[in-house]
Amino acid sequence: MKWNDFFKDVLEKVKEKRLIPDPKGLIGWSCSYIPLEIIEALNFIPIRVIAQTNGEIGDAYLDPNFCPYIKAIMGDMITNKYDYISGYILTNSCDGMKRLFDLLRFHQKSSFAFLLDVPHKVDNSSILFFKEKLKEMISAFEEKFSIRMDENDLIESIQNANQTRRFIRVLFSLQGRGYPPLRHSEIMEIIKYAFDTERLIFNESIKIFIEYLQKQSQIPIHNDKRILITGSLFVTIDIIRLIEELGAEVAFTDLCMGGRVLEDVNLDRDPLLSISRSYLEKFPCARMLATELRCQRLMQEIERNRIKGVIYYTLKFCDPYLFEAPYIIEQLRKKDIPVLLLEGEYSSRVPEAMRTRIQAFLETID
Amino acid sequence: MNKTNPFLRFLIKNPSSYRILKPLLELFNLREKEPYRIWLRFLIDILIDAFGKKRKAVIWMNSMTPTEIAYAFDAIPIMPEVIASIVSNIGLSGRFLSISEGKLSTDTCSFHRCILGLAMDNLLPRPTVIISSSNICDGANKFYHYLSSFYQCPHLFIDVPYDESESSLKYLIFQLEKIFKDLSEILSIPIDQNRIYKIISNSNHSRSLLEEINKMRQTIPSPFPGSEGLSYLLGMNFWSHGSERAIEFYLALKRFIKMMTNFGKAYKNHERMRILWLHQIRPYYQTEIFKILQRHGAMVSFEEGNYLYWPPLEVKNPIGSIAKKILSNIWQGPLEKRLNAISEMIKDYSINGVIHFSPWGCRQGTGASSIIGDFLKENGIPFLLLPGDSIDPNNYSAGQTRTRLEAFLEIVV
Repeated sequence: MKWNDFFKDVLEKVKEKRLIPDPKGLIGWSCSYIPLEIIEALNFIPIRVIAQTNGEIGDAYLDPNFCPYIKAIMGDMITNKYDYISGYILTNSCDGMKRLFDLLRFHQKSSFAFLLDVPHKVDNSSILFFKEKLKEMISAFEEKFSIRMDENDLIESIQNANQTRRFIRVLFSLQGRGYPPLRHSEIMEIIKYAFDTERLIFNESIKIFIEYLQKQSQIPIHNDKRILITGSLFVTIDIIRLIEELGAEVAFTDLCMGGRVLEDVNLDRDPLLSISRSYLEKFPCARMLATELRCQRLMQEIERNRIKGVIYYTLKFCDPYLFEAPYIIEQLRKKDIPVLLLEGEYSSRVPEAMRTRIQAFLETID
Repeated sequence: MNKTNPFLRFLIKNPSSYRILKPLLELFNLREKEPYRIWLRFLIDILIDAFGKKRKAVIWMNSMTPTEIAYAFDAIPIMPEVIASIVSNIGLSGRFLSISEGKLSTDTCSFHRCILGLAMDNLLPRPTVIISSSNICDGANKFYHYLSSFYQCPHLFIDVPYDESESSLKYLIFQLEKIFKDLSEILSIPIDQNRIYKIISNSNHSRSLLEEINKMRQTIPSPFPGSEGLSYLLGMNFWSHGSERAIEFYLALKRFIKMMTNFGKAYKNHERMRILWLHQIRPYYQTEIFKILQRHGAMVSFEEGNYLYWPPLEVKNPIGSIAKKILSNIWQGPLEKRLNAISEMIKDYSINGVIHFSPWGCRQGTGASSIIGDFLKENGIPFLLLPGDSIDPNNYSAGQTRTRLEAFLEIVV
């Protein structure tokens, strides 16, 4: 039995019986710095834009030396695969995203489009600035859809989102539980459902799943080949499966659909300021000017998870991760932590050359 | 790749070398245009100061960060990206690109890869502090931060907001005020309001001269070549505003162009087509691009890198107006800003065709090229996207470039 299939069954059953008020629509989003709580408080369902691999179509609009994920989104949008969404929110996460935003606007791929300006650094002034930008995002929604956001809805939304994050943290802590043991790749498959399922349905489903799993025994796994994966958007879970098939265990994934979505919003008197602060202060992505902090957090996870090797995975042409790689790799090597740098396409397939490199890397780890 | 011989390194980093070189360069370039000679003097004097023992503070900055900040502290701004273009121009970039090859992917910006090679070879004046802004690319943010750890010096970062709203201006002003305070502390130099006023006045003077120069360049036939606009004119634009040398330079350039326009002289005869060059840069190693254009009577009449996008700075509000300068950058924010500027340039410079240079490794500049191409097509302006690289000759294909240019020029005529 595959645990992610089991979870999928649970999810379907919950969907059947749970009545959720009709949302106003679906909003596509592209970056883990976009507070989904706000979208949900406005009664929309956020859907992560996980483009199908239509890079060839995107080539007609963007240069060949462009992020393959961005080209894939462009391909999907231009072929109307996202026609069912009411709008989308992108961020200025990178040069490519800013240009994608321009392209989508110029090709009029939705009646509602918003670019959320996320600061690159974290201090009191940027937190206040980000709060202002969140207010502008809310105003854009309110104006476009003739709605008003209620602060109580936002508070409830934050609490629901925090619950999701708590469940996901518990899920990660249950890695190895059950028979066959719950694997990291399966956890990542389950987390993917969080990105395109109505939250309360996901929360209920994962709660049932966790309760079931907690009753299962934990089979001790003596696997010393514990790997940490860090990097940019990482569509393919196939790489994690490959690592598992080759006899290693993925213990932590610092990815925007993995370890970077685990931290709660610390709610205080000002919910919007709370969101701003918590989102900016979370485990930083390389697009933030927080290289030393990122490195420090990685080292903490390496120690906590008894990591024996690190795979630094970046999409091709991803400047934030490519330019951060030298510092991170230097620091890892100073601590004698083996590291493998991989550059990949936005593809569900693991190329043979990459498979060979991963295999060779794992063989060097004691 | 072997690093530079220690004796050669000693010569390169010795200010006396440049003191000897200076009159030799003057002699060698006697027949060159006066602004070009001023540019060389400017560079040499900067290097003499930057490598000197009793030197002033050396502040490394990326290209779009206002140098007025450095001049306000009587510091020496060093623009590594401009240095990389000079190294490429003298045919040496390949060496330094090889040195940095193991560190940075060859898919990243070749300016930064070359600079890293120069830094790893210990050939650059050591920075006291690095100031960079997120104008206009991601790569610069991370790269200059990496350099600050490489050189163990502070990195002051200007996080430029996406739009020009009140909240964005407020955030930027706050950051600049903090940077001035931090710089004062790091350099142990008090903030001198009189000096700041002087720098602002200098900057406005050079700005107004640039405005006049840009206006004169609208003359038909083109009085000044875009190839030189993309080299030392752009270099001065990035490096000198706020300094007195900038005023000297722009005055000389104005005199030269005025002389050309007064006598109806073109920089090359038989101008048949007027071309607008898009992207801030060009290949800096030797290529045939401009020769091919000139052979066909195509003159690069203007280049967007020298488009004057910022309003005059305000003496009574220096930091606020520097913030407005940063925010008004046409390559920052929504593409409409850049498109409006392109529209204006096409009209003002009577442009017949547009070449958009597309360097490998540059996402900020090339990402918009399809929209620009569509926009120009709708307006009946022939457009060529020209792939290449500014610093890395390995990413340049002479044959392909020639074919594309010639095909394009046939349409423009």
